[in-house]
Amino acid sequence: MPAYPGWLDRVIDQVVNDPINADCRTTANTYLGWPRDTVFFEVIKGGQADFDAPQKELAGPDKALLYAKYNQSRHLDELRCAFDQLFKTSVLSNRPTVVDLGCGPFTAGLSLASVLGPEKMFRYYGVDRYESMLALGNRMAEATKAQGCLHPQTHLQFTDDLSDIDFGAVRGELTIFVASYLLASPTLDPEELVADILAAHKRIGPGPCAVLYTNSSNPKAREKFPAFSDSLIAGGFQSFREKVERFELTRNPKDLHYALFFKSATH
Amino acid sequence: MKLPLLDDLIEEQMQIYDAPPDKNLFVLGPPGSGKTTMAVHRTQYLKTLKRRAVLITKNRMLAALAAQLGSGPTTSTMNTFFTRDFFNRFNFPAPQPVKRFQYDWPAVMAQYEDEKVEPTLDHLIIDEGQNLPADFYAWAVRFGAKNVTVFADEDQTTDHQRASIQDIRNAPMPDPIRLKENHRNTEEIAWVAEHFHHRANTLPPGIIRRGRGGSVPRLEPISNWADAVNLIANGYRNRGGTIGVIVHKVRDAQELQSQLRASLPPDTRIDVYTHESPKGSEHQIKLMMPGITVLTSLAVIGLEFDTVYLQDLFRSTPEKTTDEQRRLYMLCARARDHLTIFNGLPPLTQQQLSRLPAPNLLNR
Repeated sequence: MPAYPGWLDRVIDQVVNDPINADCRTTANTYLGWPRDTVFFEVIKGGQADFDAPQKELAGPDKALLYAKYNQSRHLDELRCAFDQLFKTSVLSNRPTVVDLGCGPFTAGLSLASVLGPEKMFRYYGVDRYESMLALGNRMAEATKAQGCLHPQTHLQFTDDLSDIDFGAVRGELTIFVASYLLASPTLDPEELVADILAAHKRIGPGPCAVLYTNSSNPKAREKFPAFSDSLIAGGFQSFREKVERFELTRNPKDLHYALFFKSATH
Repeated sequence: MKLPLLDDLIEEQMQIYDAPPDKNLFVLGPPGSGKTTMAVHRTQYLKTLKRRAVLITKNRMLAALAAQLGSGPTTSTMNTFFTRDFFNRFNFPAPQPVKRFQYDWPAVMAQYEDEKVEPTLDHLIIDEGQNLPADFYAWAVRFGAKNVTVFADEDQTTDHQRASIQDIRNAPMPDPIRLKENHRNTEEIAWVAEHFHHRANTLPPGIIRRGRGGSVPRLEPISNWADAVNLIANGYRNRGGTIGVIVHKVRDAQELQSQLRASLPPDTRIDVYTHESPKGSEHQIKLMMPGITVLTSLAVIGLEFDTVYLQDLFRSTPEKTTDEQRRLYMLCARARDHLTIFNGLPPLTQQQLSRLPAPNLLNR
């Protein structure tokens, strides 16, 4: 995978690294006053923390920032690699609608923007239950726009409820739902999630639809995958790929569980 | 990580013209999806199979274009086709008790039933079927031909006599096949057209297969027709190709034609066609030859041009009804490469201007 484009480094620095480094609580051994070596397990809890709940001196937005600092780069590498393969020619898959489920800090949006470049437009809907993540995602999106690396027609929107999104007039292009590390959430109901995906796709239009799933290879983290997969297949999707393998194109390679589901356009 | 290319998973636009000849076929397609071209190809394909096939549409100009596209397939308007069939069978005119071209379909159906008519034509191909009366379809399927193929887009309805998708299915016709791609418009033009795509529309705009063309549609102020003539004549001198000029009134179309003739060399093709043009005049207009065609918006459905100048915008902005929005969607989508919208005669109000696509889509 090629290095980040310059704008992506600048956006991450501007929205994540610089505010953390400039914060008066940050020291040589801490970020925002929290010991650096325990942030992953104690603050962001491997990605499963309550990112709106304060924790000692950290407010929700602080925890969201630390999540981006610790987790986003791996997820960006994975999704950039996936989108690079999925959209290599991007002719029929032109102008996709992307629904990023559990969007965190605009991760799928940044990945797609870096793969499609400013010449290709897309519609991005980031969905996250945490206000702090939606706010951070919004800041990332605004910073990306300010870098001039999005097509002027690209539409970005953040919300906490998939079922509330107004997708506007019916569209026929590809829709892609991204569920990156979402199924690791202990509170998530995979059947309900799939029902929401099917309903949202129906509102978007009769075009083709893909669901891209990525997750930790940890058996506990991916125990909801079979129910998720079965529900998608019952909803008319076909499974095109499902695998656990080492993802090498990142700084600290780890095993990754990923899958792609696809449903053709309706006539 | 190894994933397939999404383009490999998305099926290509299916071929319609060689669908089974002895079955009814219902095809929906947004602007630019190639409905007229496919209708012509299907008519020709059926003829190669020795089937008697006729292509019909509402608009005389479109029927004439279909004939030009296909080097002479049998084409007709719906009114001509139907009234001729009726008269030939019963030796008196089809009942039109209220108004010309508004047929008494229950009486028509009863007449054909009483005479136990069986269709003699093998195949009827209908283009822009949304603009034909709903009741016509039951007649077409039962008595018009042994098989019927319909191409339609409910979202481009322009006529007060019309048929919805459901009306056509009730004929009965099979479930529709949807054409998914827009092969006509550049991205820039498609974006402007889609600005007017109404959320109540049933069919999504086509996936744009052409990339950017480099020509962003423009809103040009004009104070009088001489300003419009200057812009059109310059456009023709610089780019050539086929130019369609869409205006509201018949007399404006005639005025523009005479001013354009005075501004361009005498061998330039400058035609005018309106919904009031005498019958047969449409066959003299060679729409595919370089030149300028001035039309009223009622006459433009189904047609396409390299360049379009659109004056007839003010009537429908702001779009008070779904029909007005559909009209704008249909009109903007006539342009292949260049689109200019005139702001003038009369000028658009501030409220109307605010409803237009943003300046990055429609240059001011």
